[in-house]
Amino acid sequence: MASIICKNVSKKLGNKVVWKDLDLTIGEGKIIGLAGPSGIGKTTLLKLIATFLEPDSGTITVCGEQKEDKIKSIVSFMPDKLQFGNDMKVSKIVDFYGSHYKDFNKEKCTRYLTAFDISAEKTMGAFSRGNIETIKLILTMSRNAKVYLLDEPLAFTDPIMRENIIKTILKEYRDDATILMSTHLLTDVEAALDEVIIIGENKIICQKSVDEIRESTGKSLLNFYKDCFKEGGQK
Amino acid sequence: MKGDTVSWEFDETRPLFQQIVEAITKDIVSGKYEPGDKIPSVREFAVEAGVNPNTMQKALSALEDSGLIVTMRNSGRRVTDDTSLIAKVRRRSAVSAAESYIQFAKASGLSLEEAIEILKEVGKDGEHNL
Repeated sequence: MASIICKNVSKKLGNKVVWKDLDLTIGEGKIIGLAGPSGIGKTTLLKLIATFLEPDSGTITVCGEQKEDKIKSIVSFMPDKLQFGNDMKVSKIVDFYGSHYKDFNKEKCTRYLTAFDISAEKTMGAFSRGNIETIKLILTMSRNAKVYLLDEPLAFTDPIMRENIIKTILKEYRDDATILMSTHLLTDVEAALDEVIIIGENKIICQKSVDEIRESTGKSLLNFYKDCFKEGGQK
Repeated sequence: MKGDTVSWEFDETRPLFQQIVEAITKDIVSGKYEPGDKIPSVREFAVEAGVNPNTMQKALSALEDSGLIVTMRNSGRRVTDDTSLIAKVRRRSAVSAAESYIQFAKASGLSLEEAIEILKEVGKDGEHNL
């Protein structure tokens, strides 16, 4: 079953056309990477799916639902910025998630925070940017959602944190859920992905299984990606 | 998280699925997993290796097809207890390594005798003099 279907979706931000007549289908039970140059529309696409933005035209269906409140209840979105102040304690944010989302598993969240050595009694201002990414990921993955949308989950992280974040995503993977994450760190995520979606100006350049890319081109995801943006590359 | 094993290392170009099959085959042939040993679940294995669970599932299915891994009802996947099959696979891996070595030796202008001499010398216990 398809978990996300975008049909004819167009979206302008200001005067800029970000998406034009986008058609996209994403299957259930997959971990999918979203790659493309900065500013190309990855975050916009994630926000459209999460219903934080509304398409100018076209429809988006998530697990058969099109209504905003229904979609919000089954989509767990990891934003690039948390809307909480520096003086907010982690435990307060956990409580907020618990009261806000019916599918939030507080016990799991607490377990992960402990495993990552993050004290819930500290305030957000006390953490490095990498740690804040980790906290965001834990909060996002502690929901029992149908679709997880992760916007740059590996930003500001060191190599060990990256490995731990990827392992957490793999641990929380379920075959009845879909994980879609944008990232530039293709080498780090490649092994964890089923598919990659590579985005160019206003359109999708390709949507392919990462192992098929290796099989048919003999190239790693990173080198394949670079080829897509070379002069005369596959567009 | 502390205590987690490091992810496996994969080379740049070949399909991961194939590399996972090879890595697990090597662990069986080398005795890291002994005949009849229970092996981790798809999820545990995927997390340990840092790979996609569907790719891991595909690799384990291929290992089942080859007979190295068997699925027991109620007790999950185990390494086969067919030691002659494991010996056969061990031999096949050695043959394929020998083929690449001989190919390399010939391409670098060594005679077969020289190539075998080198193997014998390097294969001795302790330091060799090459």
